[in-house]
Order: sequence, then C-alpha cells, then structure tokens
Amino acid sequence: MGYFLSTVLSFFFGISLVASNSFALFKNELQTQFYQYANESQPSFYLNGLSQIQSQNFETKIHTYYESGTKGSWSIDPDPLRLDFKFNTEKKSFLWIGREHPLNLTRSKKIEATDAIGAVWTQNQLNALNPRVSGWLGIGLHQNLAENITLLFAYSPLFIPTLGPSLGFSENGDLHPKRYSRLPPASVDTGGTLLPIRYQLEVGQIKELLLQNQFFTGIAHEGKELSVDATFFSAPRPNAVPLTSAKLAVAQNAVTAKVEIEPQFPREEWVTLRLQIKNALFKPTIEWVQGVHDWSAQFASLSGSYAFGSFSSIQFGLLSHMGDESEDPRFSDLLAFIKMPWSITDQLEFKNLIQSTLLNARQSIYWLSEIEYSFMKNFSAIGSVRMLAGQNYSYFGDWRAEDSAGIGMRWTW
Amino acid sequence: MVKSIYFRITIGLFCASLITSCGFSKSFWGEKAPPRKIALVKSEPLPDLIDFFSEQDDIAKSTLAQYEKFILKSFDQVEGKEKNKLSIEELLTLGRTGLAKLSNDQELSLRRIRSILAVLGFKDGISREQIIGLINWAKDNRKQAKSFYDTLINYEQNEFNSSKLIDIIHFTGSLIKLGGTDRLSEEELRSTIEPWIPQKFPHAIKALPSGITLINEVFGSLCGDRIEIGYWNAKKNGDCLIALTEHFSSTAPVFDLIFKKINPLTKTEELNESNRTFVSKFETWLKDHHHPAFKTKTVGDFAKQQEIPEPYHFFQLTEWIPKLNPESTAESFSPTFFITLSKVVHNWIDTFQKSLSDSEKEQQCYKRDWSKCEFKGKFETVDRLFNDEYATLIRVKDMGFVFQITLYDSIAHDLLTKLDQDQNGLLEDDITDLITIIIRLLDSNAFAQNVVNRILEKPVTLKNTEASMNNIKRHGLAEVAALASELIPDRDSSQRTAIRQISSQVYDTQKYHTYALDRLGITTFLYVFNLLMELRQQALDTYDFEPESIASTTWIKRKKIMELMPRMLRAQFPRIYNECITQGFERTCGVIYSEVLASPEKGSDSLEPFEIDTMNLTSILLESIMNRCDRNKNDKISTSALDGFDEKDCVISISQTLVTRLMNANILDEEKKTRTILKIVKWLPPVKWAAKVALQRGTMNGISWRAAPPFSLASRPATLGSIMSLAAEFMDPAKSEAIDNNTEGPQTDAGDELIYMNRLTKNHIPGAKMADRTSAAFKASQE
Repeated sequence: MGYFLSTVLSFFFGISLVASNSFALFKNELQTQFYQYANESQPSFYLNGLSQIQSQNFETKIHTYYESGTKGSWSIDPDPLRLDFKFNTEKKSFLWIGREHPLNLTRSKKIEATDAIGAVWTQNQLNALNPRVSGWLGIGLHQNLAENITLLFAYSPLFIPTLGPSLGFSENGDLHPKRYSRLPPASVDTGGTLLPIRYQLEVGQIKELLLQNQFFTGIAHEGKELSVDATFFSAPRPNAVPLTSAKLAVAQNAVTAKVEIEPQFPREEWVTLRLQIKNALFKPTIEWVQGVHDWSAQFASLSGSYAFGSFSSIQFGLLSHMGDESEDPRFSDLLAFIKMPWSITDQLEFKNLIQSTLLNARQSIYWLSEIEYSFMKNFSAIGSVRMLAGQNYSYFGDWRAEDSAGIGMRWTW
Repeated sequence: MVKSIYFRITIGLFCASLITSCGFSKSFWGEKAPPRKIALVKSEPLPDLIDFFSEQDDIAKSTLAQYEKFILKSFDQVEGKEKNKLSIEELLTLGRTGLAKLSNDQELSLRRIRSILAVLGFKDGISREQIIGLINWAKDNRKQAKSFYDTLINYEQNEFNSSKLIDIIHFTGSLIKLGGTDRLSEEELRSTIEPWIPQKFPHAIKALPSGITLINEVFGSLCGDRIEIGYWNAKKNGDCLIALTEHFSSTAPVFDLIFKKINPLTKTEELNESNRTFVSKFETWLKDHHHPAFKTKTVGDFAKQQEIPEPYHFFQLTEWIPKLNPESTAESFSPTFFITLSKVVHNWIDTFQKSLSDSEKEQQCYKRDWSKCEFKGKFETVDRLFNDEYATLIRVKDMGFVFQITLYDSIAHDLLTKLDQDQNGLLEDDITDLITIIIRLLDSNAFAQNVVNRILEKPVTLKNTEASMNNIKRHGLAEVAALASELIPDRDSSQRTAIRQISSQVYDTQKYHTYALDRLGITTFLYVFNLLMELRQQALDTYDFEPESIASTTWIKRKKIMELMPRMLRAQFPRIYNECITQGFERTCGVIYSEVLASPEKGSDSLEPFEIDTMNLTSILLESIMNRCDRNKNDKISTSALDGFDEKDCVISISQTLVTRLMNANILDEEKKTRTILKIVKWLPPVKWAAKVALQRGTMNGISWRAAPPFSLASRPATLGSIMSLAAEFMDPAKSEAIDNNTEGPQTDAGDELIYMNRLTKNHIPGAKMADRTSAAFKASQE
C-alpha cells in the first residue's frame, strides 16, 4: 500500500513541479478522504488527484486515483494527453497526436459515461462510481471544412480496453477481487449438482491484444441553435467477451469446474448521431448509436442541464440500450440520473448525485451526497455519504454492501 | 416563475428517484451483498431415447448420432488424472458429487456405478476408446436391439415367436459379451445385480445368492465346457448364447408349431425339415461338451430362501427322472434328459403331421387360428378318445384337439419305451407312481407360481393339488385313473378282446392288486386330467359360484355347487341331464352327485373349486359306461338271452368295479352293505338276473317275482337314467328312500337338503326343456 501511495504522490507532485514552470495553465486538485464502509471494521483511505496542464499546443489532464487496503486499486491516467499541430490557424484545423476522444474537440461538453456514445466507448472504471470515457492513443485530424462544419478523423494502432477493478486471478484459480469488481459465478449447476468453479485466465498474446487498429471519422456542425455530430468508428469492443471452456476436474475426492476464460474483444462498428438543441429548455442533447456489426445493438441517451438560483448546473438525463439483451447488468439498463450541486453559501456547497437503473428486474440506485465547506481559499473540508441499493444482479445492486460515509479534504492550486 | 416550476419538477424527479429506490432496497445502510451467480449449464436438448428403436432408419441413426456426440462431448469435458480415461475412483467421485447419478440414494448410486463397470468389464476404469466401442456396438446391433424392444413391447399382443426368441437370445448374448473376459465369482455377480433390485422386493434380494447359483447351474448345464462353470465369464457366456441360437435356429419351426405361431398346413416342408433334424440338434449340442448335471438341491435352496413351501413334489418327481433318463440321479438332473424330451417332441410333431390328410393340406383352412380348423385327417387315438356326447362346448374334433392328443400319445409312447420292462406294451406295477407324477407335475406348476408370487411380493398360496386331495387315498385314485383310462377310450372289439383278458384282472379288485395301462390308456389318462381342468375352468368362468377368498385360498359354498350342478350338467353332459330329468332329477343326479361331491372340513360349508372335478369325472365315467356298453348306440341298455355278455352284463360288470374303486379312493363313502351286494351280484347268476331287472327299473325295490326266471331273462332295456337311479340306491339307500317317499332325508353336508322335496327341480332346473344333444349317434337315431 505504501508503495502505491508513494508512487502516486510522487508522480503527482513531480508533474506539478515540472508543469508549474513550463505551461500557461496549470491547475491541480487533490482530494483525500477516509471512507468507512458499512460492512468493514477499518476505514479506507482515498486519494483523488487531477492535474490539468495546458499550453498553446499541448493539453493534458492527469487523473490519479488511489484506494488503500487489499480491496483498493490505483491508477495514473493522463487523459487527454494531446499535442496539437495547427496548420490553419484561421480555420482552426489541426492535427493532434496523443490521447483524445475526437468528439471532445468539437465543443466544450465532454463525452460522458452517461452518454450513448460514451456507453460504447472505452472507459476508465477503476473508480467504479465515477467512470470516465477514455481517449484513443493515436493521431487525429480536426479539419474545418466550412464555417461551422468540421471533419474529424482519428486513428489509433493501440487498443486499450475498458479498465475496471481487477478480479485478481491467481495461478490456482482463486480470485482476489478489488472493490466494485463484478464477480463471476462461484459455482455451476450441472443438472442439480453444484460445483465450485476455479478460473484460469488465458490472456493470450498481449501484443495481439493491444496492437489493434481503431478508426474514427465524423462530421461536426456547430450552429447557433443546433449542433449536430455524425460519426462512424470501428474499434474492438471495449469490454471483454469471455470465451469460456469448462471442464470438470476430478481429483481424488472432489470435483471442481475448471473454467478457462479467454477474453475476446471482437470488432465493432458504430454509427452515431449527436444532436444538441441549444436554445431549447434544458439544452437537451440527444444521442443515437447504431451498431453496424449487429443491427440489434442500439443505444440512445437524452441529457440536459439548467441552472437555477443557487443550483449552478443541474444535470439530468437518460441512457438506455435497445434491442440486444444481456445476461449481465449494464450501466445502460435504462439509467436515469440527476446531478444537483447546490451552493448554499459561497463557502458551503451541497452536492447530490443519483443514478438509477430502472430496467425491470435490474433496478438499482446509487446516491452520492456530499457537503463541502471551503474554510480557506484553496482548502475545503468534505463530508460525503454513498449509498448503493438494488436488486440482485443489477448494476448498483451488486455493490449494495459497499455503502460508505467519508470525511476528507480538498486542496486546489 | 417558469424556472421555479422547473426547479420544482427537478426536485420532484429527485424525490421520485429516492422513493423508487425504496421499492427495491431493504435498507440504505449495510445491506448484505447479493449472492454470487450460479452458472447454469444448458445442455442441448436430446431426442427421446426411444427414437433409437424407431421404424425409420434415419431417425434411429440420427438419435444415436446425437447421443454419441453428447456422450463423447461430456466425456471430453471431464478431466481425470490420465488423459481420455477415468479411473474407478474418479467415477465414484463423480457419483458422490451427484454428477453421475443412478439413484437418489448416494450409496446405492455408487454401488450401481460399480455394478455397471463390472458388467461391462471395465475393471480399471473407462476410457474414451471403450466408450466409442460401446457406441459402435450399439450401431452394429441396432436392428437386434430394436427387435428385442419391439418384442418386449408387443409381447401382450401375442406377436412373439421363435425367431424373435432367437433374436432376443442372440442379442442378449451379444450384450453380455460386452462384459469382456474377466470372470466374476458368484459373490461378485451378486454384488453386481443387487443394486438394481428395488428395495420393495426384499424376497428377491434375499433369494439373490441362491438365485445366482441357480443361474450358474443352468448356464453350466446348458453350455457345458463352452463356459467357465461356476463363474460368470461374460464373453464365454455370451458366446454360448450366440452359439445356442445359431445351433438351434433350424428348430424354430417346431417350437413355433408348439406355441401355435405357425400354420402346419402351409408350412409343411419347413416343419418336416425342422423336425427331421430336431433330435440330432440336441444330441450334437450336448455331445462332447461335458455338460454337468443340474443339482436339484439348488432349486430347494432357492425356495427356502424365499420362504415358500419346500417343493417336495419336485424332489420326488426327480426320483422318477432316473427311470426316464438313466444319466440323471435323484439329486441331479442330466441335460441329456432334453434329448429324451426332444424325442417326445419329434414323435409328437411327426405323428401330428402324418395325421393331417393330404386333402386337408390342400384345403387351406383360412381361419386365423389353424387349431380351429376342422380335422379331416386320420388318427385312431383321436377317434377313440373323442366323444361327442359330452363337453362339446369346450371340445371339438379340430386340429387343436388332435395336436393335443398327439402330444399325450407321444408322451405315453416314451413312458412305455422307458418303463415297460417286459416289452408287452403295458405299464403294470408303477401305475400309482405314474399317476403321482402327473399330480406332482401340477404341483410343480403351483410351485413355480409360488416362486413368482414371492419375488413379486404377492401372497404365496400354500395349496398344492396333492395336499388338498389328502382325503383321497393315492392308491384308490390310481385305481380310478386306471379304470378311467381303460374305460374311456372307445376301443374296438379286437382291442377289447385283447384287453379284456387283462381288464378282467383290472376289474377284479379282490384278486389282483396291480394295474395295467397301455399306450392308449396313458394317453387317456393325460387327456382326462386336462379335460377335467378345462371343464372346471369353463364352469368357474360361466357361473357365479360366489367365491370367497380367505387367506389366499378361494372357497366356494358346497350348496352353491349343488345349486349349479343342473346347469353344469345341462351344458356339458346333456345326455346325463336329460336322463336325470326323465327319471327324476333328485333321485338320480341329485343323490349321485351329492355323494361324490366332497364333504367340507368340520365347521365349514365351503370347498375348493377343484372339487368340481369329481363330479365331472363321475359324469365322464357314466358316459363312458354308455359308450362302452350301448353297442348299438340307441341310448338303451338291453338284454340278450343269446349273448353271454350282453349290454346289461357290461353295465353291471363295469358299474360294480367303478363303485368299488370310488369307495377305495374315498370318493364314495364306504358302504359295507354295498360292497357285499356287489360281490353277490357278480357271482350269483340269479342275483345278476335280478340286477338286470333292477337296472331297467332303476331300483331294487319290488322286483321279487320279476327276478325269477324266465321273467328276468327278458327284462326290458335299461336307460342311463335307470342305471343312475339304481346306482344312487346303492350309493345311499337312505337318501333314495327319502326322495321316493317325498320326505326330508339325511343331510350330511351343506347342499344335501336340495335333493329332497324336489327343491332342485323347482328352483334350480333351467326350464323344463331338455338339453340339446348334438352327437352324431343321437341325430342318426332321430332320423
């Protein structure tokens, strides 16, 4: 634990030191909290960091995350990490290299995990309750074709699947799962007989896994009242499809089911349409994603936001998949969410986030309630409660034992 | 304002989300984690295994292919220590975990797994190659398996024949061979079979060790040194069964004829060819293979373990077998006895085939059951035995009847060949034992029935024929049987002349104590026994005797038998019925049958159904007297001054012997007076003349002057009715007198009261109409 924490902190402060002297914009945020989980005796330590470095041709945001304990995990994730080469300053066309989601360059609103496009894109889910859509590692083109029309293109030779809490496969088939990991079945029912399962992960050639091409192209139109993005992209499926082969291993006195899992990332092609009506109430954004590889794969989302009084930006929306069924719970199981930050005073802010999956037999809810008091210019104290509930085998229901309450601090500079 | 509305809507949505979550969360803090999912193995649906026996080849093949794929895939999905193989311990582990489940009881399931492995000869476990071998065997034997299955399913529909039996045995042999060359001791075989016997058959389980010994004995005797005697060697036993079917396949037509599955009219050549080699097949099978004798004690042990009465009859029967088969002893039964049996069968079929006339074969009788075809051939024994005066409801002179008589004739011939020491064509000293054998054969059938009942956990009937007939002296029964066998067949005059010399010895119970039966007599004896059983069954099926079952025995009221006696006579013995009606039913049939019908045990008024046999036997004997003595078939027994042995002499002579024999056999009550009179009648001519008058009058009363010659020399003809009336008077004078005086008389047993005051006539005679007689002699007399 100490090793990881020191690595994270060193990296974070190291970057800070370097960047602070070299870049136009350099912002940092470090949040530390102690969370007490309802079903655990010891609290866990959390560290969340965000370093934003931006200059004329370079931009990066480095997300750091750390959770202590045997169930904890950590990540250092620079996303975006982009170097632009402008070749038409007037038309604002540029080539970029690095890591980025092409659609994030078209307007200020990023692609979120609650968007339909985000739902089929690779994500970082190590902080499972706060997933982020990840950018591709490669090159891209942002070409202004006309006043408000931009051609987008991106290519990545390197595929990074969705990162999530590890299951911790051991050589003898035991699991040492991290918090918020989704556990595979523990036993198998073979005609009335329950057998324990031992898993064996066969990743195969890493090189073959990582070196997979990804293509993206699209047209973005940014009007005064309407913005429309139409895209097509081809990439391996971000979440693995486990190819399993099972055998019954008969030992002297016991029989176990030996399951070999070979994760597969089959190629997918998607056509997306994103439409935002700027002058409408709530400025709704509608997204439609249609699978070309499988016509029954469809996603749609509707999101909106508005500000009222001391509610600086209330965001809400719906996300759902249509057509194809899945045995496993998904974030897009008719997700409804609302985010309500409420600035009670200049120093006191009360934030609430509710995400709820409403699909029949998969209903669940995640409610984050956080209160932050800025007692100094760059420091604030945070108290939060996270509650999860839901039916068996629902998205948040799988984590319903992970209710927690925490206190901590935030430091920004 | 507008914004505040939307704000409220937002708050409302917020609250709605919270409220919704209450519906599916038990608590908001510290809820238990959901259980981990259980993966479900979905196997592809398999077709019904019965489709393997489908008529359509492609469906059967497809079914087998799918099962093959499933079995091999399942096997490939199980990993043991050794690749493509599972050891016995690993298979048992699968059994313990419930993956290989042959019973809901785990221990029983494991024993069944061991059993299957032992039967299939997989002592070290099972490999993929062995499974493929089994599947290939199923493919190669699909047709035989289908035949096996069809036969079992259609058994009730009577589709079973020899070729199907051969298929079954051949298939069984092929199946048994899968067990390989390992040999199993009796104990190992027992532990292999026992797990498959349901617990609800405890006697079957208990009898298994001795049952296996019995099976091994049977296989040993059957196969000789082709197998390892005393052990179960699957391959050798299977090979033996296969060899058995191949060797005996040519005998199939003969067996089919025995079980009436083949038409002798249309399959003559096949039958003759099969019969020609029939005996040699048995001889060559048994030759040079050292077939051991079958120890009869094995049967006794088997019976003892099942707690059923010791089959002493069977053992005493086997005392007799050495006389029929010198290679057998009282303790062991040589398989060469089957050669003896084969000769009996051969002669039987040969005689039967020869008896069928050429015109009959050309006739092509189209009845579905050839045994119902009219017999137009020639077989003397049939002509002698068949009597169209009685039992015509159950007996006609058709091919089935001839088939039956030829069997008895063949048995009789064999018995004579074996037992006739002086080669005079007669069995003399051993008649009693012969008769006992017949009775005990029936007991053996009851014993076999008891074995089956015990295994199926049904009540065991302890009755056997002889034990129930314990009131009848064996000696006396033999006498009756001997007389019947001499009396019943219609012997022509030349035969009578030859026989009479010996018959006079038979008739004279004082002088001679031994009896003689010729071939025809033995045949008759067997025939009569069978006839009595059929008459009894016909009566039980037709009339409601109101049977009661008490302690696994069926009882019927003696009074009910007496009530139904007129109907039984009317149906099966119309001449006797008509004569009794004419003469006075109670005075004739009433007295006679109430006398011959057994008395129940003290305190009871019920008899067992077989007691009806004595009534029928008496009727048969009465008819036979008429058949023998009524030479001109005019239903009258006349006197002839010129004939030293006229019809009445014949009746007197036979009747007195018959009555004496019936008394000796305890069928009739001992009457010293009657014995005395009979002796006097025989030896004093004047008394004989008086007897002749009495025959016609039907009574001894009031014949004093008529008895004196010359009046007595020319007495009028007697009828069967008058003879019966006189016989009744001898049997029970008190009863006869009471009936004559129309008063109540002696009532020894229940039902006796019916013979008085015309109660039978008033209440139990089916109308006043006479019974229809269909005999040729009667029809001729009417024309």
